[in-house]
Amino acid sequence: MRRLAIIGALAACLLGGIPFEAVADEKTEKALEERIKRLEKLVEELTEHEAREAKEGKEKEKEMKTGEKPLGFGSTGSGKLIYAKPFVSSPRTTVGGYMDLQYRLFSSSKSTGIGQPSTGAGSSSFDQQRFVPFFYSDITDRLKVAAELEIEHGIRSKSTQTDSGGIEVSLEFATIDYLIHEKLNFRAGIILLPVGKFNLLHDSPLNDFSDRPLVATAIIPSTLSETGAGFYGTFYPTRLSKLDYELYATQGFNGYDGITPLITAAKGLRDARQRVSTAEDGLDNNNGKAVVGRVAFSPILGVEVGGSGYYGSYDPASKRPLAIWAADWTFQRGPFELIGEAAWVYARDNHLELDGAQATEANYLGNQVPLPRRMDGYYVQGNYHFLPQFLRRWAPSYFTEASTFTAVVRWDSINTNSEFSDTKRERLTFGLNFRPIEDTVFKVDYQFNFEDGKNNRVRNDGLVLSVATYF
Amino acid sequence: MILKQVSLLAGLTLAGCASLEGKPTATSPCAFEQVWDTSIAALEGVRLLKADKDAGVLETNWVAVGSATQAGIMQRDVNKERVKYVIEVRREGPGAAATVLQLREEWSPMGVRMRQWRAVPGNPTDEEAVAAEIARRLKAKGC
Repeated sequence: MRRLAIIGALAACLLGGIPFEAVADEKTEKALEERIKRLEKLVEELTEHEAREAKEGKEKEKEMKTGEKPLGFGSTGSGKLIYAKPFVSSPRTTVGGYMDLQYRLFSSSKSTGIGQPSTGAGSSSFDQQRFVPFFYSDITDRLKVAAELEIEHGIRSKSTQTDSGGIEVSLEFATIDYLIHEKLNFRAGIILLPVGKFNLLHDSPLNDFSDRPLVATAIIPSTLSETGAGFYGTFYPTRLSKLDYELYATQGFNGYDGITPLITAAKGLRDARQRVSTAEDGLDNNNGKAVVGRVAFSPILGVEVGGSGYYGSYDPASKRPLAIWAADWTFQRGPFELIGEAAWVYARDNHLELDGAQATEANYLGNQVPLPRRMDGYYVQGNYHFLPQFLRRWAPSYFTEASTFTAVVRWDSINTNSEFSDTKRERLTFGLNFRPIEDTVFKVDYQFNFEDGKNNRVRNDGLVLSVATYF
Repeated sequence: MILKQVSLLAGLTLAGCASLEGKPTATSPCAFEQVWDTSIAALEGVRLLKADKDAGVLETNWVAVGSATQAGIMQRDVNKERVKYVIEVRREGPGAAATVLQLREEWSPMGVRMRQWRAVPGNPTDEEAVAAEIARRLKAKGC
């Protein structure tokens, strides 16, 4: 059919271009004959080309049916071969990751908060903080495996520091999901604990600031994950609303190393996490298990409020429960966003040693104060997304439809021993970031850090420049 | 204090019941039954999750659609999007009207976003297309 159309069209062009009075002309006849010959040759070539294409298509189909995946990239040239491995382009598994790099320039080398990045001995530093490969596999329509392998401060092969200052190579999460129904699905493995929203969305390229909120590093020590199992699902109560829930039974915090308490005002809950605790080699220190869950309700698109809780014993005898409660909120309207999170911690009898003696630590003045039983904190963040149109006109290849600038401001406040000591810490951060595409971000932030109220200023304000991307 | 919190929660919940005002609507002098049947017919090829004739609400299952976004700095085509349609049919004078809403969610295997589907705004062009299809079919019926 296509051939006939082509021949018809070409013939029409050919004949249309010849004056009638010239038809009888001998020269014209010869020219016509030649043209017809050329046309016949062209038709022949077209036929061959079509046949070749059809054959190649069938071969590709056959390859797909037999499971032999065509290579995703060119397979010639040594540089390309590594990218041509079938697993990279396998539709059932996605391998990717994210990484960041930051440059910190501060007034001094003094700490800016629990679990916050530092500048080492100097007051400025480059830090490749996170390199996180991840894997996602669609094993079947109902069975999925997802994992993130976190490498923190990966430049060094040795470190004397611990926690966020040291090298960290660990599975941030690794889960097997069995999808039963939209409303009820099973998840098991190393689970990102649904306490607050930030812990669930902590990836550097997703966040508009370089540093995590104080409440998300001290009170809810992100990244917070534990081994366990449980259920999650989604309900759609009304036409426009959505309700997500997660509920898991997990290992629980290891609150003691021997008889030494690990929950302190100086470190918050960070050192008691299963993923950094050296007690029991990461296994449980008691027979009690923890229960953790979050419910997030979105009445309309752009509005979400969440409530979450964690409850489990943290001592070897399973007699001292640790409770974390959190609330989070997201409001989006047009280019504006208001997000935030608040959290409260209660660790029963943490101010007492296991033998009943008073457990103390030095506060910022050097005085001994009881270890904390209660902690709390919150952050509120405002985002404004924009892209001046003149930039798009001026340099359309740099500022595309997917590009955006975001102006950000955040207020942080935490108190890691709200009952026995004045351990309040606050921070005001201003920032501007540019996303050439949604998954890549260049950030500029400036922090004003306040410790112990505003009466005891420490020179530790500073600038953070960073870049983060998914790949 | 508790009363305030309950009121806030109730307010937010009721916001989810908000009407589909402003959404594309196919208005016709055809009877409610005809508009209802035509709306179902216009959704051909998509499984219905709910067809509550008394309430005048049709709801489809989720349908996978092509994603408008690419993932990561390598811009890979691994993101997913899915849509479902809600059509509200109501009597209007002697005729009836069918209003179309598209709910859309996206998912990406990139990092923590692989954990769940995320609601995003529906595509107004798609909504208009479905409303136009209902209107076309109703016009063809000649009522």
